[in-house]
Amino acid sequence: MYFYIIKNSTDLGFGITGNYVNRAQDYVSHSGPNSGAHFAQLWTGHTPHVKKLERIVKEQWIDRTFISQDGWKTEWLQDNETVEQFTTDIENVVKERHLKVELYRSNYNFLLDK
Amino acid sequence: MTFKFQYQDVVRRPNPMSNINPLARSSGKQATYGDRVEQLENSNLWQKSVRAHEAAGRTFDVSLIPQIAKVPLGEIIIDEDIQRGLEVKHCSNTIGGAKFDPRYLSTLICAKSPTTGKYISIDGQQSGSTVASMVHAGLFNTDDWKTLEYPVQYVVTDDLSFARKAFGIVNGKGKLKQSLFNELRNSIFCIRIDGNTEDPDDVQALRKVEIGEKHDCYPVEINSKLTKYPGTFTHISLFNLATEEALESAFSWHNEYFHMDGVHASVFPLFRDIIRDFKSAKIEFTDKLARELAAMIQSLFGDMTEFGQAAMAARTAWHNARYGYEGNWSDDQYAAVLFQLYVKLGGEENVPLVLMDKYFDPKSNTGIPDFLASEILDLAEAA
Repeated sequence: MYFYIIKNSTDLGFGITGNYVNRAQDYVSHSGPNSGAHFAQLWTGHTPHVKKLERIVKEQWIDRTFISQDGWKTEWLQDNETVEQFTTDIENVVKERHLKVELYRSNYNFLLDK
Repeated sequence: MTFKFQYQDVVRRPNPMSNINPLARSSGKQATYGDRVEQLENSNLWQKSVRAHEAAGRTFDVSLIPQIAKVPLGEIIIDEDIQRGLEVKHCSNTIGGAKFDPRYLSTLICAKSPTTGKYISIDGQQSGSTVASMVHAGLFNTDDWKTLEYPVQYVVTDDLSFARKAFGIVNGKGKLKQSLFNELRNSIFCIRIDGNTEDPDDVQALRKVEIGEKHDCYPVEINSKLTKYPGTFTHISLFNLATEEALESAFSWHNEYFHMDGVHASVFPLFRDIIRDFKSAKIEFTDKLARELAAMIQSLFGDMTEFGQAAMAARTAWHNARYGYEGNWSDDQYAAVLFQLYVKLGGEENVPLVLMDKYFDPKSNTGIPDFLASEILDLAEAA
């Protein structure tokens, strides 16, 4: 299982997947080849721990995510978030919570890797 | 021998909930309808509804809003095709019982016929019947219930199908029910704010809430913004059902080992079974066992939420393999998975046999933990 930070030309988001290649392709398909969509960071690890990591972000860090006025919760981060800060915080929480999760690769771009 | 998993401490940070616990004190907040109008106007969902009315050219007549009147009880007719029958037990024990106070009574909901002027009760007959019968029994300071003017909320219509629909609406359809958290908050505030300890149910609710607060665990409303904080939980029905002894153990254990997370629903049935089965078997649930279970959950699942989900999936897989179908939902698999896995992985503390026998097939020597996801079992074996 993988936890990723997705970055395109305008937004920063996150998610989990069992197949990061297919997921990266999905992002490119939806937003287009010029969107710059790529995985800025990609972690891998024990599935329950990766899911827990995602839950920490979605629930305990919910104030950092974009929520519409009607309360639609998204997996996109607020505009003031950066890859650097988010990566540091993820690394810290992995260490603090003793999660079996480790950085797998950085800047994975589906189009460039094909 | 040392158990193969060791609990690794997690940095404990101050929990904001101790200062913002919604059951600790009144929020002191008040709102006007102006505030609410502004809130709805800012909602896309609300604007969509307004646009739908506008597009259909719909406007509404304020005179059709239900009106109020005081009507002699003797003049009100109960339509038995609309209202259910008289609930004698409800009238005797609840409305007219020991805690009766006239101020708890609700208004009657009626349809008023525009042709005959008669009021037909479509909701509230239990209250009306109780009051009439109490007057009849001499329990009120008036002699004739028939002339007692009772507050009525009514709509003018001869259309009984409308009345039927209205009955459905006032009894819950289309109306937001009071949440279990709100009910709990009312009980707690009756004591903490009003100082009223007359209701034993309120007193018991407060004792349970205080057990939680002692261990930094707090009930909060579903979808509340507070669920992001550690120690919060929203499953009030499980909390209400739990014994104080089970809550004491559950919250204490949660706060010791999983203080950085919300309290997962599985904790309640798990500790219900621990308290019941260890006590029956006269086996002590030792601190060592509590720590080793936490260590195993931390290593293999990460937290109670992941454990709970894995245990549910294991139960479904086990049931399918054993009986050929999924079976009904049950919450007794948490203890079975946890303790059978503990023993399977070399745990040496005493565990009641009854927990080992549940979800276990002696013929094939397989039990529910064998149906956990292979990734979890592989990690367990490799540890």
